[in-house]
Amino acid sequence: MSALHPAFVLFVTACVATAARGILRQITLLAGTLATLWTVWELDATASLSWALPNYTLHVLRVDALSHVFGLIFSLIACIGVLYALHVRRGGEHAATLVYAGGGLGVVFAGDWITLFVFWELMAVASLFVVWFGGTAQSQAAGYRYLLVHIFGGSLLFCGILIHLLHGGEITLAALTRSETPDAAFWLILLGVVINAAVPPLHAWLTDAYPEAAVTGSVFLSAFTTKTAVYVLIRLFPGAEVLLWAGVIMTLYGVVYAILENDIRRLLAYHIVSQVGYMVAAVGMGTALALNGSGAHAFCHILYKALLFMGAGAVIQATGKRKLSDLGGLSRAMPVVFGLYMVAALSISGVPLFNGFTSKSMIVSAAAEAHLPLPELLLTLAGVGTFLSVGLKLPYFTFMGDDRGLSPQRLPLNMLLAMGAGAFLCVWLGLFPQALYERLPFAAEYHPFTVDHVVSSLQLLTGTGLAFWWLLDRFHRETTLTLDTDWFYRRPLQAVFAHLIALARQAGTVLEAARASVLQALLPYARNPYLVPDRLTGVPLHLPPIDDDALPDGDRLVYDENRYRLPIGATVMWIVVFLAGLALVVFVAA
Amino acid sequence: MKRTGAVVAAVVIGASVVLEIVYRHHGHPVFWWQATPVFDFVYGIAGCLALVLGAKWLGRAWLQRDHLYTDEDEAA
Repeated sequence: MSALHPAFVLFVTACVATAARGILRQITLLAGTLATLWTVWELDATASLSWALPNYTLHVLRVDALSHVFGLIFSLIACIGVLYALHVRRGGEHAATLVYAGGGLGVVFAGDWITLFVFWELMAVASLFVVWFGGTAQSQAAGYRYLLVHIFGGSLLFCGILIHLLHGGEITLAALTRSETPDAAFWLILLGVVINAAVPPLHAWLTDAYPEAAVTGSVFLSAFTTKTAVYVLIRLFPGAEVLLWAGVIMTLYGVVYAILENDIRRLLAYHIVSQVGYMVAAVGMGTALALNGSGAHAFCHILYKALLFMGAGAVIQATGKRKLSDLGGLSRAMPVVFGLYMVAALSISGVPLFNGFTSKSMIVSAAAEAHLPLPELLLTLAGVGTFLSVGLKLPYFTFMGDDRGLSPQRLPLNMLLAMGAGAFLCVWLGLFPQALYERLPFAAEYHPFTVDHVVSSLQLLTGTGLAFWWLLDRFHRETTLTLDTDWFYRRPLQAVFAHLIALARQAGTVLEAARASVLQALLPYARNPYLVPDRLTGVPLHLPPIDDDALPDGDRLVYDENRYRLPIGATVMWIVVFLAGLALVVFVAA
Repeated sequence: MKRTGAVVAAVVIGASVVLEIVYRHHGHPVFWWQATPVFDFVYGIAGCLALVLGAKWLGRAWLQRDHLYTDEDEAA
């Protein structure tokens, strides 16, 4: 059954919203994203959209349980993100975010490699503009670095896809881990995807660029790129063992950096790395429960992480401050934002009755079920770090702590409404996880609210809280910069580039000088072709004057170029006409 | 504030330990620490201390700098 592609609805919305103004644009944005959500909701396994090319048939729309659950959350967060950004007057920013979201939907519903790659790159380009709409010198510089990394990642992915197809691989997407031995295509595709999943040391583009976007843009950024990568990992690399350890390291890497971080959105960005680590590790486990956990955690993570970025964005918008060292004591002035932020903070920390608990505990249980003791302990430890930074440190130093005498501005109502919607969904899914569980793609049963899970979670979080209280004095605000792997392309690689550019400029100057001297030498002959035989033979050429105007200059004939201009020009024209006619005949005959 | 926190913590720990002991035979522990009462509480405290002190040490020794990039980035 041919169906409407939800990404198409978003693209149309983007076009109309950019052209419209004022209230009309706002209505378009809300109606368009709601229509997208409805379109995704209505999709079922029979829906498809194909496009026959000479050698391949592209499956632009392929729906199964896995793509449907990701499609649902992507379209849902597009609605919430658009509501949060409804007051923004820059049409370009709305267009960029919607095309970005559409790219994400395109990837999850792609049935073949070519479609996947096209939408993958579309996301990269659109998200670059989302970063650039931050509108600062920092966002511009971070955007260029973001572009550099994503061009590199996209190239790896494309090379991998080409090798896969050249080796006789299917055009339709299927798990690559089923083949006996991983080949070059496997590793290139994996590398291209894990760059987007922000697996250290290939993660620094995320923590570099996301905090520099506009507060409205980073809500979208937090949702799509890493989670499409998780989707692709679940689809293509289930059970790839290397991902288990990569994921476990990610969870702790993000946690450690977040402890040292001062910028509130960069702190949250490090916790994207950490949370995506759970999903990546679960893909590496590869059991049905783990893969379900990965999908469920992506779903819940998008909701609470968007809410966290909305809360941080609300603080930044209201106060103009983005660093913990500049913030403090905002709970009186911004109680609603504080409350809604805490819903997200409790969710990400895995407090029972909030949505993070229902999905994170699934992954940790999957690790236990698969008899992986060390990953189970380390993933639990990362949960401690999450509560520490996002649930305690950030809210304490932003909303409580020393009152900095900040007088925050009033926030637009739409921002609070969007946060309210996000918080409602976090709590609702925390109370009724079955609504999500029954949509998960793999056959595995899981009960989150067992005494074991609840007790373990409560004890862990209480222990963390007590230790935080005890260490509070050590949490003096960090005003330093933290060295991360982006140093490699911001310092040595940049020096290499600068050196290469200087080298190319030098070569250009030398070549230009050589060209000028050659031209200088040839110029007399171009002015008077009669000089050529003259110089070659050493004998002055004697020709009879062609007409009376051409007076002999001493012994030599004066060359008058105007005499030859017309016949040469005419010849060239006829050649062009002939070639154009020939091209037309060949084209028509073909 | 501190007293409220301490009371909440005490209540949660007390209740969870009772639950742990009462429902000990209902769970399906895979590893020994899942069957050990108050393990998660201790792990939470120890983990938090280890992470904070470890991260701070790593920061002081290596990762944290006053200057890293160009002036434009330092203004960030």
